[in-house]
Amino acid sequence: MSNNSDNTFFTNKFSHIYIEKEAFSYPLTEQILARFPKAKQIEVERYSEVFHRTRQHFQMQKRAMKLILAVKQPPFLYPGADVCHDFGHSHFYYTSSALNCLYNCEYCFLQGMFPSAHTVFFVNIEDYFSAVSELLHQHPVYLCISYETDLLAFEGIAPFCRRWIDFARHHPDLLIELRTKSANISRLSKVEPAANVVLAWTLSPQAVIERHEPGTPSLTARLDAIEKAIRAGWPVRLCFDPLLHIDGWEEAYRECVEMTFSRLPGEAIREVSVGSFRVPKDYMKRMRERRTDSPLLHYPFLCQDGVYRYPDGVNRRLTEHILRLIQKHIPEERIYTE
Amino acid sequence: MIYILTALYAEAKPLIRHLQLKKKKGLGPIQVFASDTIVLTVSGPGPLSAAIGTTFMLSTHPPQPNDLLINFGICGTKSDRFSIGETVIVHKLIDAVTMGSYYPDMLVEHPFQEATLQTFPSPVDSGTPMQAELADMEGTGFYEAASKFLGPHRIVLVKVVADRLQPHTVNIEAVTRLCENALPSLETIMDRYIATELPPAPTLTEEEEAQIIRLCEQWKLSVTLRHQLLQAAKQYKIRTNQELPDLSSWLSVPIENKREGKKYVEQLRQYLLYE
Repeated sequence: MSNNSDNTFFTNKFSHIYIEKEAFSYPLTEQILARFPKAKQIEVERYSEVFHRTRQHFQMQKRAMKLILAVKQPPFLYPGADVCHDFGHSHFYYTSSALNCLYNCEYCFLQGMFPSAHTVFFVNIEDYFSAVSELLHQHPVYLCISYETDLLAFEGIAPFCRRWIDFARHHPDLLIELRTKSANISRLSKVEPAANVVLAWTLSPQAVIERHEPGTPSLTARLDAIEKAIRAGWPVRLCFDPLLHIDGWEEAYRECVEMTFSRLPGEAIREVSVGSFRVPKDYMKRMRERRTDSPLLHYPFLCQDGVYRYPDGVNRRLTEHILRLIQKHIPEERIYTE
Repeated sequence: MIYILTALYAEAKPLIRHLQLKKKKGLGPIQVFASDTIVLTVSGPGPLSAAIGTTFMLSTHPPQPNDLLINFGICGTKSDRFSIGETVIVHKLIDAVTMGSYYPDMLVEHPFQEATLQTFPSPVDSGTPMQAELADMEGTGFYEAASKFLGPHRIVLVKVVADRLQPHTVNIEAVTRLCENALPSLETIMDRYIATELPPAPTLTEEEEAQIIRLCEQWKLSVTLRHQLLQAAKQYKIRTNQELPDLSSWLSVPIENKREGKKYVEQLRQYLLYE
């Protein structure tokens, strides 16, 4: 069980599973536990007893991540944040069937948002569906289901994507975005594509992936997955977000965009979003405390309206450069910027 | 530094001998033994004593975030899953009085069994109803105090199974013998936790910090501006991975009033940020 390839003795991921008493009775709990027959199961009253402990070490936890199975209490849906793209939809919400991610991206806002790096799965998925159904009685809903996690990366452990897709199929007024960096598309190979479920891939130059997105699939692997998704008939969105001002950024992003559209036909892409790095002030403080060795996060960002961003000139150069490249392949009306 | 708390001197005795700890004098009523790398405290039995002993030890010897804190001692069990003399690591604690629960972070791989532990304020026997597999009289008091000083990933409870909840069957000599036999296990645990220490964050050297403080005093800066300047200096080191440049020429900048001070702080920040 040890994970001591780098001369340390961290446990394997998910060596321990914390389970809320109330969560034991849910079928999803049973399904998830069956995936980890050797894991030590520890009963908890509320998931927050583990997740919200003080002084947790996010980066150490990333090396030996645990699972927490919990029952979500209301609210199940949240209004979309201003720093996120709404793609022109007026009823923009997000929801989280899971908290935290399998990956460990250096710039990830989750490390500023959550006190723990352990993964929480909320097993009462039916309660989420009830909340969405209720909202759909009032108006159509645009719902992002993979903001505070990467659900496709977890699909082999907890089949949340499949459940959401099946739900969406019966609710045409619902439009779902499933954001991912995963290449795990084979997990959806037996799922019939739904016109109102958009698979949205975050794409970065390979240099960014290697330096700042540890554990994530390579650009080539992501493009392979997207190709398969398009062939299967899924609506696909590409997200060049966050743009990072790395050394050699012009060339890196040029290569990334050219490689992307040498593999993917522009007309098969539903839309593209572009956004440079931005993080709310409160999250950035904690992210910097947790990544004291990260030149990327200790860049002299400017804080405007409570959000840290690159200085205007840098932002503009980054965004304009990549927009010029993308516009060669995608018409302007299908490209969304902040 | 490794901090160890035991309830009884009989539990501490083999550690003091093996780790060559010396009694620290002049610290008051609680016994503390130490070497250059280890501090051990004998708190006396009971959760309240354990909390007092832990707080005393960590207040008189303040820990760094990477330090390790261990509660080492005997426990009882009703479960046949554990044999007498076995070393067990605790992954959940329950307080028998408040029924509150605590969870050390189990990030380190080890070859021992793990269990839940219930802490009682007085001795219990096999007739006592239990919600956990192990019983002791210190765990939750120790943990609650410890968690005020260190994160859950640096707090470990190492218990040696002494009896089947028949406490009268275990005398002082048996306690010492059980703990002595468990020393190799304890050392394995300490070695593994030390191996998982992450390198400390790069920070300003004393000279670099003194350089900034001199500037702050010369320019009569407010606490906020001082903080901003120190922050800019730290970020400079993280970004560039270089020593802070010599700032002595800035000391000779004449400052007439606070507004000028603020202006030069901004100039210096820009210099450190974009240099």
